[in-house]
Parts: sequence; C-alpha cells; structure tokens
Amino acid sequence: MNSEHDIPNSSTMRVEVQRYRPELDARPWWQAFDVPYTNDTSVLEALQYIKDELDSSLSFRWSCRMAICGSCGFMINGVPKLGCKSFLRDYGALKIAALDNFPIERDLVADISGFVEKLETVKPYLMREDPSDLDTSVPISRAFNQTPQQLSLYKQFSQCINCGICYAACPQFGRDPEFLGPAALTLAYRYNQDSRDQGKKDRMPLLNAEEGVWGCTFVGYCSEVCPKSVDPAAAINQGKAASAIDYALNLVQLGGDK
Amino acid sequence: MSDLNVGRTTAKEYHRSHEPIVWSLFGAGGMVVAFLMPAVVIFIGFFLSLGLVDNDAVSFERVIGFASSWWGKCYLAILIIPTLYHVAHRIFHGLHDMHVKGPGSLLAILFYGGSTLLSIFVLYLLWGIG
Amino acid sequence: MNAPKENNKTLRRPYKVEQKPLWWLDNSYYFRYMIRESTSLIVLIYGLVIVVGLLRLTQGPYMWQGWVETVSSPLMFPLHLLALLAVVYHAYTWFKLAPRIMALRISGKPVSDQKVEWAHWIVMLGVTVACLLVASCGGALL
Ligand code: SF4
Ligand code: FES
Repeated sequence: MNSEHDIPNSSTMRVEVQRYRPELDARPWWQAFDVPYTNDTSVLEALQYIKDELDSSLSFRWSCRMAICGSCGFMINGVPKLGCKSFLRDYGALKIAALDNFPIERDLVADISGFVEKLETVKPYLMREDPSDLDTSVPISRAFNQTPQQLSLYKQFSQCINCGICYAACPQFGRDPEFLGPAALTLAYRYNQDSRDQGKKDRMPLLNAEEGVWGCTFVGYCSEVCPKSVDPAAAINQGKAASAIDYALNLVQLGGDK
Repeated sequence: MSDLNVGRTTAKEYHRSHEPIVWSLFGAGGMVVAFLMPAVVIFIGFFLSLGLVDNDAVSFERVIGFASSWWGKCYLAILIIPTLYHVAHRIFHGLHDMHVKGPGSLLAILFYGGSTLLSIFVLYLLWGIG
Repeated sequence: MNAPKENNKTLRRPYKVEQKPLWWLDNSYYFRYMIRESTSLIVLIYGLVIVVGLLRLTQGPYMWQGWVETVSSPLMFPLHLLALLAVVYHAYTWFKLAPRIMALRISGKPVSDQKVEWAHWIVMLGVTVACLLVASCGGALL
C-alpha cells in the first residue's frame, strides 16, 4: 500500500493545543508539541501521545475511538470535527481547541451539559396514547411494525451520536444558548416523524417556540460538519414547515397546540 | 451534587412564536425573487437599457393596458408584495446576526411594518389603474 | 450531603467566549451565508425602483416615460448588473435549500435533492424565457 500520500515513518507534526486550567489560567492559551505520526495517526491519537509522553496534565474526552460515542469533538484548525475521525495526514499543522459555543471546562473539554439537557427536553422517546399501551401492569405483547417507507421518513435523522459538533457550528446557538439547536430539534422531528410515536403534541410546543425551529436561519453549517450526515438543517427546516402548519391550524381552531 | 450545577431548578417555559406568518411571506418572496425577478432584471436592465427591444415594448399605452388587466394586476402584486416581505425578513435577521438590535421590537416594526405599508400602497396603486 | 457549604466551593470556572458581531468573517461558509442574506439589500433597492415605476405609471405617460429613461440610463447599469448577480446567486442558494425543506416524495419514494434542484432551474429558465418573450413582443413585464 504505497501511495504518494504515505507518510515516512519519521515525520513529526507541530500540534498546538489550547489549554485552560481553571485553577491556574485566567484565559485559554496555546501550547505547542511536536508529535510523531504515521499515515494512520488520528488527531485523537496525537492527543493521547501528548498526554502519555509529553504533558500528562492535558485533559480531553474520548471513549470509542471509532466515531460512534460522540465524545471527541474538537475544533480542529477552526472546524468542529471528531478527533478519532480526523487524521494528521490531511493536515500540515494542527491547532486543536475545545468545541466552540460551549463553556470550556478545562483544556479541550467543553461543558456540553446544556446540550444534553436540551436533548432530554424534546422527549426523545416513543410516546403512546392508546390506553392499552399505557397499562404498565401487563408486558407489551404486540409489535409496532413499520414499513421501509415509514422508516425512511426519519432514518437519517436517527443517526445522531450526540457529539455536539453541530452546536459548535451554529452561530444562532453561539448567539443565544437558549436556542434548542440542531441535534435536539432534529431529534424532536425524528420522533414526530416516527409512525409508532403518538407524542407529537407534546413536542410541537418546543418546535413552535422562538428557541425552537424559529431560532434557525438556515445557515446550514451544522449539516456540513455533522460526522454522521444527519443533515440537521434539513430536519429543522422541515420542522419549520410542520410548525407553520400547526400555527395555521391553531389559528383556525382546528387543532395544533394553543 | 449541587456543585455540578447541571439541570434547571425551574422548568423553562416555551411560547409559540409568530414567526410562521413572516416566514411564509419570506418563503413566497424567495420563490418570486428566484423565479420571476431574473426576467425583470434582464428585461429592464439589459433588453431595455441596451436597446435590444424596441421602445414600443414599454410604451405607456401597452404597459397601462397590461396593468389594467386582472392578470397584469395579479402578476404585479405577486412580483412586488412577497418580495418586500422577503427582503424585510432577511435584513431584519441579518441585523440580528450582526448583533444590531433596536429597543424592544422597533426593528421588527420598522421592517415588517414598512413592507406592510408599502404593500398596501402597491395594492392602492393597482386598484386605481384602469 | 451534610456539608452543602463545602459543596458551593467549587473549583469549576468554565470559560465562556462571547460571540463577536463579526463572527461571519471567521470562515468562508459563514461568509457565503452572509452574502446570501445580503442579496436582499440589492433586491430591496430593485423592488423600490419597481414600486416607483408603478407609481409613475399611475401618474400618466409623461412621468412613465421619465421613469423608463431613468432606469435605462447608463448610470443605472451597474445597479442592473449587481441586481442580476444578486437574484441569480439568490436563486442558486434557494434551489439548493428548497429540496431539503420539501423532502419531496413520489409514490412514497424520496426524490433526490439534486433532481429537485435541477427541476427548479428548469422551471426558472422556462419562466424567464417566457416572460422575456411576452414582454419583448407584445405584452408587458412592467
Ligand atoms: S446531528 Fe450530527 S453533528 Fe449534531 S450531534 Fe448529531 S451527529 Fe453530532
Ligand atoms: S472517541 Fe468516540 S467518537 Fe471519537
């Protein structure tokens, strides 16, 4: 496997990492390291090398190393990306910082608790109304079948790994942290689109709000950077159409949320 | 665990936004600007300016005849009114994006109110023709 | 639990960065977004020119002729050029976004965004040619 992109074994790269130690630093600062790398060294591995060999005080989050846990989002040369899905071979030099738009807890650790809370807010689970489904004294004994077509209405939107990268890309969230933001609104829309769900009326008030879909101006960068091609901007803007219909129905008193 | 400071102490309340009204008008205007405006700009700005069409094409008689017909009135109303809301909406949100905000809803009143007044003016003009 | 006062002495001091008003200069994606939004400024000017045209039309042949001469004077040409660029860029961005909002399906199957985008362009070109033909030979665009 010798391509011209192969990296000779001896290469090192200048990697600048943003540090912020709340007990010591007034503000974040940059620390530079020289990191050896090969063709398959990921940004996450570079950080692990720094922590193991150069400066053990560096903090960052990671877990799966395979782009599925969503822990390792960083600003990599100004672009929000997963560290385990980005490779040194694609860069000349590296600047790694904590995800934009979140408070920095320490070094590369962004405080995403507000984001996690928003995910909870939109009730991201199947809700049923039928009395027979609500009786918790008996085990659920029937299947909720779905056709491939019904599945396709939300499948893409259900691929989210809650990495928060879209929040780092969203200027409206950067402006107003109350904005529910790309992933949470996508999740709400994903459950509304699910044929097995009956909880739409509980989620519409969230979508309908200024902090809901109406806080979005379709900048679209969230969809550009999403590592799972969820296209949150599409979900939010389809949510705007749904919310506008809800608004009209409510206006003529045919339904919708008050 | 109070030091972790996660979770709100009181549930946040969400209120229905009236944005759907202006968003729908903005969307209609976006369609008009994309589908109808290019022809208008090419006609006035190029065909007419560069003398590619005979001046008869815009003679008073012909244009007033067009603007007197019901389809002419419809066309002009559709061309102008949604466009006004489209630009008002974009400029309003653009200013918000650049952190420009007036006291209270001043900017919203200025832009959406302005496009509403102009729209009424346009309808009044169309009403008076023919 | 029994020492809440101690709990308040947190060492946490999350660092918050406020958004700058000029955040949209930070990357080219944001910048293109602002260009997209700014097309509305030029469309606003053009819209006002059209409203004035309508006003002049109601004021009789003399005023109308004045408006026609003004808008077709060489001084106005840069505005027309700018307006053409603005509306075409608007259309380009609009046709890219519209399919993602519509999520069109034909007999249950999703239609690809590219197809819907192209359909928009075809309709736009058709409408433009039709309008120009009607306006140039017989009817009137304005
Ligand atoms: S939508 Fe994409 S970018 Fe946003 S949290 Fe989910 S996976 Fe991450
Ligand atoms: S470590 Fe799990 S997504 Fe990167």
